[in-house]
Parts: sequence; C-alpha cells; structure tokens
Amino acid sequence: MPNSCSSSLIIVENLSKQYQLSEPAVLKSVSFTVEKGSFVSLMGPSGCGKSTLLHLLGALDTPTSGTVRVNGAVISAFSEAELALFRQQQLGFVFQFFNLLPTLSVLENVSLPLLLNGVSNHQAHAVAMDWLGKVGLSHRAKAAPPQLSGGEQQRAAVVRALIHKPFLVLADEPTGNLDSASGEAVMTILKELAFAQGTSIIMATHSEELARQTDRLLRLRDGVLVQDEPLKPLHTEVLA
Amino acid sequence: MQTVETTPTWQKKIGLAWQLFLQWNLRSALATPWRTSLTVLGIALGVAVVLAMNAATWSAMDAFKAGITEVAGSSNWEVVPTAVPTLDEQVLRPLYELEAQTDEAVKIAPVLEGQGLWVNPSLNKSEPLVPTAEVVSILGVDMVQNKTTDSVQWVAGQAPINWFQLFQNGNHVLVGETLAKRHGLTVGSRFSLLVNTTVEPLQVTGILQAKGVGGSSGGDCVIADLATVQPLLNQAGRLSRVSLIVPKALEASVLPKIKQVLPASTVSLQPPQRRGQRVETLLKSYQINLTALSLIALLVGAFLIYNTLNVVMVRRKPELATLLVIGTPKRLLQLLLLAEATLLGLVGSVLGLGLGLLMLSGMSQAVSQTLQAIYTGVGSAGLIIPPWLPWVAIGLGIATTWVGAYFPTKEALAVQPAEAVRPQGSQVKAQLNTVKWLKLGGVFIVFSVILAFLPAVDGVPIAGYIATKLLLLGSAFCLPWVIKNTIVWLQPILPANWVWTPAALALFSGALNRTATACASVMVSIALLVSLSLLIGSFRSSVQLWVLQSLKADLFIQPYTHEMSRGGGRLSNETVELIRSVAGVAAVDNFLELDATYQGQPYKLGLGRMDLFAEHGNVKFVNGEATRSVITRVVALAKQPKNAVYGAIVSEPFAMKHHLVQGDKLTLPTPKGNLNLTVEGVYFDYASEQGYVIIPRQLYERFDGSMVGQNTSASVYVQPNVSADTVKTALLKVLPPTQLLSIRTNQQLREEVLRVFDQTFAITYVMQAVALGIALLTVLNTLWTLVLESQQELAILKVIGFQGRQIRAVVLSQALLLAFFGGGGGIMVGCGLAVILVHVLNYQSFGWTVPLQFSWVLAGQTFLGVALGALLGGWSPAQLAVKASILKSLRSQ
Ligand SMILES: Nc1ncnc2c1ncn2[C@@H]1O[C@H](COP(=O)(O)OP(=O)(O)O)[C@@H](O)[C@H]1O
Ligand SMILES: [Mg+2]
Repeated sequence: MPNSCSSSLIIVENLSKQYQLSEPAVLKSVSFTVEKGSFVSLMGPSGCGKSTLLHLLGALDTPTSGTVRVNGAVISAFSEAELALFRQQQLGFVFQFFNLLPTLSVLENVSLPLLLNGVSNHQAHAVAMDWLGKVGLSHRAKAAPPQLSGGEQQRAAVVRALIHKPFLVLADEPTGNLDSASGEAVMTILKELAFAQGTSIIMATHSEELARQTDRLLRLRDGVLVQDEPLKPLHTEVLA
Repeated sequence: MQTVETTPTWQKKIGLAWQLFLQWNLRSALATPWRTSLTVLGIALGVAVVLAMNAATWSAMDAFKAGITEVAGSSNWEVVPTAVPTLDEQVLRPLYELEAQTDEAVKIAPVLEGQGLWVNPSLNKSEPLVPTAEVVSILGVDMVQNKTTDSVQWVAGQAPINWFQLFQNGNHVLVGETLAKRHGLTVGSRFSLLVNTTVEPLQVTGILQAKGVGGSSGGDCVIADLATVQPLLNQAGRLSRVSLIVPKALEASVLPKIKQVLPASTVSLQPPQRRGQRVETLLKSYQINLTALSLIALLVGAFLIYNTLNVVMVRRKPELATLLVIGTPKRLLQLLLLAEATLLGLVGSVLGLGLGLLMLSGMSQAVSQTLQAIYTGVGSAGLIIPPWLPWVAIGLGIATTWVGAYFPTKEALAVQPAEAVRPQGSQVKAQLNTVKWLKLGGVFIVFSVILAFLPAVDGVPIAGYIATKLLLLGSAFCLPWVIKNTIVWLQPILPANWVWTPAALALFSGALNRTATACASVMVSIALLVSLSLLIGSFRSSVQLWVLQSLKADLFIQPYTHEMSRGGGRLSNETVELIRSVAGVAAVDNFLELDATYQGQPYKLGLGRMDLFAEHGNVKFVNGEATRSVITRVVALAKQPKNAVYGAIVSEPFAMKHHLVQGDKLTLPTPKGNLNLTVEGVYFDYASEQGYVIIPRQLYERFDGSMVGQNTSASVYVQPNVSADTVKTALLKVLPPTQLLSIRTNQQLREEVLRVFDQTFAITYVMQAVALGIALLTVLNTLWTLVLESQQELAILKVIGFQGRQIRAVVLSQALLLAFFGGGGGIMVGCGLAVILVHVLNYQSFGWTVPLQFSWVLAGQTFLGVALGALLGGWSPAQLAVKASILKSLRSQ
C-alpha cells in the first residue's frame, strides 16, 4: 500500500490519459516517484504529453486511469473544496505565458497566495515586498504586469508560485517565451528560492542546458517515459 | 504550506473577497470603460422605461382617485347608487330617522357631485362667452345639518363666513383654495361657470383650504349647499351618495337596519374604499398593458447585458483559470462575479432612475391623455412617484442584470483550468450549437401559438402576454441558425470584386455567439416598433371606417362638460325642445348616457329614441344584419306590457366582457324592479372600452321616472334638402347668449373621434420612440464590441494590404448584416406579434375587433431606418478600426 517511503512527495502509478476515444492515449501508463526537495526536469518533443502530465500532477485535469499521490493522498479523489485547499497550500504553478492577473499590481499578484492562506493583508504585502526584493523587482511592485518585460513577469510569476512555501511547484516551459538571458535568470531564482525552502519542482522544458541544471531528468516520448536519469545537482556551483 | 498556517477566519475571507473584488472585478470593469458603460446604459434604459411608465400610470391613477372626496372627514360607510349614477334623495328620510334614534351617534352626510367649466368673463357684452377647458368640480353638501364642519378648514385671514348667504341665495358658494388662487378670487368675487348648458353667475362667500372637503379635485372645486347645487346641476332630488359615520360599537346593530331601509337592487352600502377599488379594477388592465410593454424594454436590456458580458467573460476566462490554479475557491469566484453583476445592475438602475425621471415628464402627459380619453373623470394632477417604485425599479434592474449575466458567467465558471492556461492559439473556440437553439426556439414559438388561443383570466389576457414574450424569445433563439445558414448561402452570390465581404462575413459568423444576440436584441426592439405601428395603423383605419359607416346624426349636440369628460353635464328638456323647433330639423334623438354597473363592472347605459334611430341612424352589426331590421325589433319589443322580456343592443366590448351573443338574456336592476332584456344585436363600437347597452328611453322611463327630464346629447337629423351647417347657424341664433352648447356636424364629429383616438394611443407613440432608441443603442454597442474584439483580425487584414476604406467597408458591412438580420427579423416577428396584440391582447382586454392591415410602406421605412441607423452607429467603430495601429492591435492579445 502507499507511502511506505516517507521521503517520496509524489508517487505516480500507471498514469494514463486519453482525451478522445478516436485518438491514441496521450500518456500511457506512466509511473515514477519524486522525492521531497528535488528538482526534476521533464523533456520531450512538442506534443509528447509534458503539459498533460503536469496538469494531472496539479489536478487541473483528471486521469483516464492510474493514480497520483501527493503526500500520500490520491488527488483525483479530492472534492472541489479539497482541491482548492490543496492548490492553495501545497502547490505552485508557473506557466509559459506568465498568467499574471493584468489588473492587479505585481505586488498584489504575488501577495494573493498568502491572502488565500489567511495571512493578513499587511503581513502579506510585507512578505511579498521582501520576495520581490530577492528577485530584483522591488522597483516594479506597484506596476501593472503588462508594463513589465517577459522576464520580469515570469520572475513575478515564480514568486507567486513559491511565496506560500508549497511542497511542489509545477513549471510548464517557464522559459519557453523568454530570451536565453531572461530564461537563465528565471531558472536561477526558481532553483535558489525553491531550494532554500525545500520545495520540489517539476519543470517541463525544451532546453537541454536548463535541464542539465536539475537533479533529475525525465524524458517522455509519445506518452511513454523513455528516460529517467539522475543528474549532478549544480545549484551549489551557481551559489558560489 | 509546509509551515502550517491557520485556516483563514471569516474576517480574513471577507477581506480577501473585498480585495479581489476591488483589484480584479472593479479594475477590469474600469479598464474597459466603453464596454462597461454600454452595459450600464442597457440596464439604465430598461429601468428608466419601467420607472417612467409606472410612475406615469401611477400619477394618472392618483389623479383619478383624487376625484373621490371624503366629505364627512372620518366617514366609514357610504350609500352609493349601483344601477345609475345618482340616488333618489328619498333614501335620506329613513337615514335621518336613524340618526335621530341613535342620538346623532350615527351621522349622515349627503353629497351631490358634478362638474362645470370655467368661463372667462367677456370684456365686451356683444362678444360671445367661450368656455375654457378648465374643469371645476361642483360639490353639494348639507350645510344646514352642518355635518361637514369637521372637514372644513378656512383659509387664514378671512372674515367670518356669512352662512346665511349660503342658504338664502342660490348663487353663493365656497371655493377651493387652488381655484381661488388661480383666478384671484376673494370673498365677494363674482365669477361664472358653464354648468350643463348654461353660464351660471356665482359669488364667493368663503375660501376653503385644499384639505378635507376643500381638497376635492385638488382644490379646484366649488362647494355649496345641496339646495343650491341640485338645481344648478339640473339634478333636483338626486344625490351622488350619502356618507355615514357609524361608530364601531354601533355597526352590528345599525348596519342591518340601514340595509333594511335601502332599495337593495339599485343602492348599496359599502365602505368608502370600495369606490377606490372599483377605480382600480377599471385601470387594472390598462396598467398591466403598460407594464407588459415596459418589461419588453427590460428584456432588451437583458440581451444587451448578455451580449457585453459574453465578451467580458471570454476575456476573463484565462484569469479565472489562473485564480482557480492558485487555489481560489470556485465559490468565491462565483460570489465575485455575482457581486460585479449586481454592482453593474445597481449603477445602471440608479442611472435609470435619473433617466426615467427625464422620460417621465414627457410620458406622463401622454399617459394622462390616454387615460382621460378612455375613462371618465381622470384629472391631470402632478407627478407622483410611489415610494416603493424606485426600489422595485432598482430590484428589477438588478434582476435583469442577473438574468443577462447568468449564462456568460456560468460558462466562464465552467472553465477547465488546464484549457485556459494553454497558449492562446491552442484554445478551442466554443461553438454555438445553432441547431439546439433552433429546436428550443421552435418549441417556444409553438407554445406561444398555443397560449395565444387561451382565454383571458379575469379580464386580463395573461396567456396572451406570455405568448408575446415566448414569441420574442423563440424567434431570438432561432436567429443563430438562420444567420449561420444565410451567410453560407450569401457568400457565393456576392460580387467577387467586393474584397471586403468574405472578411466581414467571416468575422460576423465567427462571433456568432455575440452577433446573434445583438441581432436578436435589435430584432426584439424592431418587432416591438413594427407591431405597435401595425396595431395603431390597423386600429386607426378600422375606426375611420367605422366612423364613416355609422351615421349617428347630421348634427351632434352636447354640453361641453359632457364632451370633455363623458358622464358630466346634462341637456335640459327645454333645450331639446328648442332644438326641435329650429327650421330644417327633421328629428331630434335626445339621448341619455348613464354610468352604471353590470355584474360589478362599469358600463354605459344608453337610452335613446330608437324609433328615430331605426329611420335615420346606422350602426354596423357584427352579424351583418341591417340596422333598421334590428332596431325595429327592439322598438316593437319595447311596446310590450310590463314584466315582459324586452330587447336591447349591446356594443362589442360589452358583449365580449360578459360573454354575450345575440339572443342571450341580461337583467338590469331599476328602482321599479328588474328589467329583463334579450340581446337583439351586437354592434361594432370603438367609442367606449367599457361597452354600451342601448335600450329605448321610453321603455326605461317606465322603470325609473327620475330620468325623464335628463339628456346627455341630442342627435339632430336634418331635412333632406337642408345642409347641416345652415341648421347649425340657425340653432346658434335662437340660443340665448347664456346657453353654450357643443354643436358638431357629422364631419367634425368624425374628426373628434380620431382626435380622441390619437390621444388614446399617445403612450404607444412614446413606446415606439423607446424601441427605436434601444435598437440603435444595441447596434452601437455591438459594433464597438465587434471592432474591439476583432482588432487582431483587422490588423492582419491591414498587414496583407487592406486599405482604410476597405477596412471601413468590413466594419460597415457587419453593421449592415446586423441591420439585415435584426431589422428583417424584427419586421417578420413584429407581424407575428401584431397578430397577438390585435387579435388576442386588444380583443381580450378591450373587446374590439380590428382587422390587421400589413403595410409594405411601413416595413420598407423601418428596414431603411434600421440600415441607416446601423451605418451611422457603425461609423465611429469603423473609424476606430481604420485608425488603430497595426502593431498595437497585433500585440493586444
Ligand atoms: N484538451 C485536449 N483535448 C484533446 N487533445 C489534447 C488536449 N490537450 C492536449 N491534447 C493533445 O495531447 C497531446 C499532448 O499535448 P501536450 O500535453 O500539450 O504536449 P506538450 O506539452 O508535451 O507539447 C497533443 O497531441 C495535444 O494535441
Ligand atoms: Mg506543453
């Protein structure tokens, strides 16, 4: 039965997803586990099912068969309210297109997860300012997201994903829409901030270079896990 | 969270909701000011129409009720006539006895009410006096018994009243403050009123505050002793009613005694409120009519809201998804969207209140004109907005917003977070299932047709009203399918060198969700416009035909007061004789029209010289029978001995209201027992919605002698070779200078009927204007939205080489498509609606049959009007599209 290993954050068992009966399954019986605090990269050609897998891990979608356990709980069994609580407390998301709310200022955007968790407005803003400082966005706190560059928006999005200290951050091609310098900067803060608080990350990416900076590489092809390879953690070098 | 936080307390939840509401909902709404204000305006317009319509009717009703005076301040019972307008004062004797028996614990106050017209004093003796249109109510009360003093309040600063004058001299009166102020009357002033047909000189003895008895007709009144007023009104021995004050403790013992002494068949004892209730039932159907019409404005408002919120929600979907992804509970999002819709509704409603007040000033006049034309005794008092009305209007505005917002928000909240956070390009656009809507629309239309055949409930055509709404909604639901298929069919037949048409058609059908609703709301308002125009047009030509075919007389003579407010004013027998004596007159039919009730519903009892009518007159009978043959039968039946069954003719509205056909029996109570009648014929009549029963006056006089000397009008038939105008001139010559009569030739009478008709429909003209305004607003709203929505597509067109004028053509073509589907559909649906309005609503609420006449000219004008409006409305969005920067537009998503 489940969670025999206490350091396993995620246990994926025989996970399959088929959107349409007329088409082949997008994910075919995928199984793997992810340890607490690890940084996993997910690679594979376009359309191989990376986003689908991330969405299933974040319970944005329901699997056709198989289970995802996070901290021992089967997330597809959650009620709507439990799901909201799960995302609120245990998850963070980073998307290719940033998905910041355009009418909220950067500060308001990144404070939102704290407010959802019952932190007072005052305290949330203070914490958020602190985080924005860490990613070099203090001067943009009051700005509206559309006024920011892509890299800046994505750094704010990373803060939003991490600020409430979730167990897990799911990042779907976070640098896919950025030039390589901005991408590198986003990668750096993602890695550092997550490491500092022990948050696990699963990141879909097309960049071998970025993937090599992670602890472990999962490679998907046509919905099947074809490679699962531990890598040498590099964040210590970056810090130095 | 890894560091375990406490779950949020409810204060924090509220704080969060409030923050999100301000930062997300409110800022989003303010970020698109154009769209937000169009939404708000849609609601405002609906609310304004509802407010204005209802306040106008309410004010008119209030003016109507103001006519009901409480003479003995705190009277709690009254004796009123039921069969004819007045009571015989004989009823007073037993009542006064009762008063004495109870040591005046029970108080009795008889009242006679009538009307006069203000006559301006002539400066020059040779100049004829002319009555004004200013109606003054005349009130006779028992001043000897002095029961009225408790409700009399003198205007301050007056010398003590010389009561003696009031009893001694037949022309001394008290006047209400309003009348006194308007004409500068003081104690001792002399003035004249035209009462019945005579100019009566009067003198002011005292001035009363516009309260209690002095407040009758809003203070536009003259009050005198009964002994003065009865002869003045030519109503010797008659009373309008008797007010009673019966102490609660005595009611159980005294009321049965009173009932015992009253002639039960023609008189009833009731609380004073009952009279008000009768007025209300009288106005009920009219008010429901207007309310039903004004609700269509709200329906269109809901369409507008649906339309704009659809756009808003499509835009917000990714944001909703993001909020869900970071763990915002769905409940909270529902609450936020509901709150936003409510706020929009609230702002719109409040704006609507302001707008409604503006509209009201124009509309109230139309409504009171209409009411005055239909009903007797409606004054035009100031505007009255009942305190609950603004709240109801706001409530309706918000409810409308909720209705309009329901589907867009529901769809937005059903968002799959995974879908919405995918890159834009890969999002599957929601396709409107046009066939599903077509089927639903079909079902609605079928139901509408079924409902149209159902009878009225309690005189109110409820099923018919629902049928109109179902027809409108059903047609709206069919529209997407029609548009989609028409465009497919239209594409190949348009000229190939119109390069902009494929783009316009694609953009139009691509946004079918939105364009179809826009077309639907244009369609609804145009349908309203067209159906009302058809109704009025057909009605008017029927009335015209009716007026031409029914020959009442060569000359029609009546007192001015009777002409102005049906029911007031009498011609004396002397006047009738005077008319008979004029050279060239062949016959005079002296007619008496009485306000009476049949089975609790008001109607008009007409007493005429039917022997003369058989010879000279003409009316159209429903079954086509000749006038002479029907009337001859009635005249013959009238010659039977007492207690036989006699004959009557009834007008179509009366027959419809009481479900009578030729051959049916009806019984009218009279002071000398029941008058049993057979309906010998049902005739077309558009003069009174209450309906007429007409019987020979000699017959009626056998049952009620008190009506012998009374006439309301005289129909004069002139000799074959004499012109009506000659007789009119001769008549004016023999009339004494103090006698004023309204004398109209047949031609003038016809004109008068049409004038009254136009007054009756004054309010529908206002509705038409509103419908047109709403249609134009919709066009404007939609085109702005379409242009804003298709910025990217338009920019791409520019990139591939479209020039400014071609871009403009793309936008204006869409405007024309909107006009084509909305206007064309509206004209077709309007015809269907007109069928229901004319054959169901109009017939069931008024009892008038009107053959519907379609007008190609009207259809053509409407279509051109809508097209022109669409082009005008499309101009500024087109300019926006032309001027928009390509780069900005491309980046806008
Ligand atoms: N909602 C959906 N319905 C149908 N097919 C989908 C849906 N979402 C994704 N797919 C299909 O699933 C496959 C995997 O897509 P995705 O997980 O987005 O791949 P990746 O992120 O690796 O590019 C693709 O072929 C895509 O077309
Ligand atoms: Mg992907």
